[in-house]
Amino acid sequence: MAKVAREMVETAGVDVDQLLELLVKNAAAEITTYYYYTILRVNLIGLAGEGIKEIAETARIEDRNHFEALVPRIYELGGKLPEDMKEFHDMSACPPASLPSDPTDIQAMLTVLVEAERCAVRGYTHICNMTAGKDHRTYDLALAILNEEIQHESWFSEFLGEGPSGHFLRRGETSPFVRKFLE
Amino acid sequence: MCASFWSELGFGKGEARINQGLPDVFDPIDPWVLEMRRVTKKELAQHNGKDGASAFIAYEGKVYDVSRSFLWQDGQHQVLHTAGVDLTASLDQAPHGADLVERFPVIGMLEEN
Repeated sequence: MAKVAREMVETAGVDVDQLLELLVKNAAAEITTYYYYTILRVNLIGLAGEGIKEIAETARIEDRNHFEALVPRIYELGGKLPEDMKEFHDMSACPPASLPSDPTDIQAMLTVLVEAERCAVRGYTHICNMTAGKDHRTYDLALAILNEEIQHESWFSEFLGEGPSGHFLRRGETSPFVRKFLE
Repeated sequence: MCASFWSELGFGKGEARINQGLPDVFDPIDPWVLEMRRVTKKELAQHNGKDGASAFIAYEGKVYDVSRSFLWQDGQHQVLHTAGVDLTASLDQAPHGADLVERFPVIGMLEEN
């Protein structure tokens, strides 16, 4: 634990235990989404499915990166991950991104994906709001993740035809915003 | 609202049912019964999602059943919120709008006093 780092956050008025619970829940959401997206990805087949496989894969890898980036901050602040994987899954900040009953229904697949991203966007917005001007490092991390989650949401939303597309596939390496937190 | 509209939504099939007390799980209710149902704050507080109790929340006078939501397990929502209370004032700080609350089934109206 980074003792002084935690004290600074507490002194700034953040309920650190509450923040830690949120960070752990969001870390759970990231690793479980990584798992569920793996199943979604292998079911993205056919002309329509293959067309969105690339962004689903990028989102999957970046969600795992978010998990990796969150863990050090959790331990710095004196938190820890549950020892039981099932407990970790069940405490997720977002519902499971389960395979739809008809995996060939690409609209249903995209809806699962976009809803998962929207949950993440809400979660990191919440953490940013909690930590802005108080816990600079957690804010910086949550903002970096938020940037990528918003891109993920946009990708899937645009494939659903919800509005004009202002985005492309990820250019270059994954996690351009979060990369600095990956050691 | 005409009866056929509600019928198409799956409400109001057969005789209108007046439930005694609050249901443990969501059970669609005829709209006219819904108008009559009043949930006191004490009753609301009992449905806090703890120890197997169902989880109800109030928002702008309506009482919603969130028991089946993954995000309301054990009556807890995103660390900060608990079931069994009126969350109208809390929504201003939430990173989502009323539309997400309104997806849940309404089980009654919250009594003012």
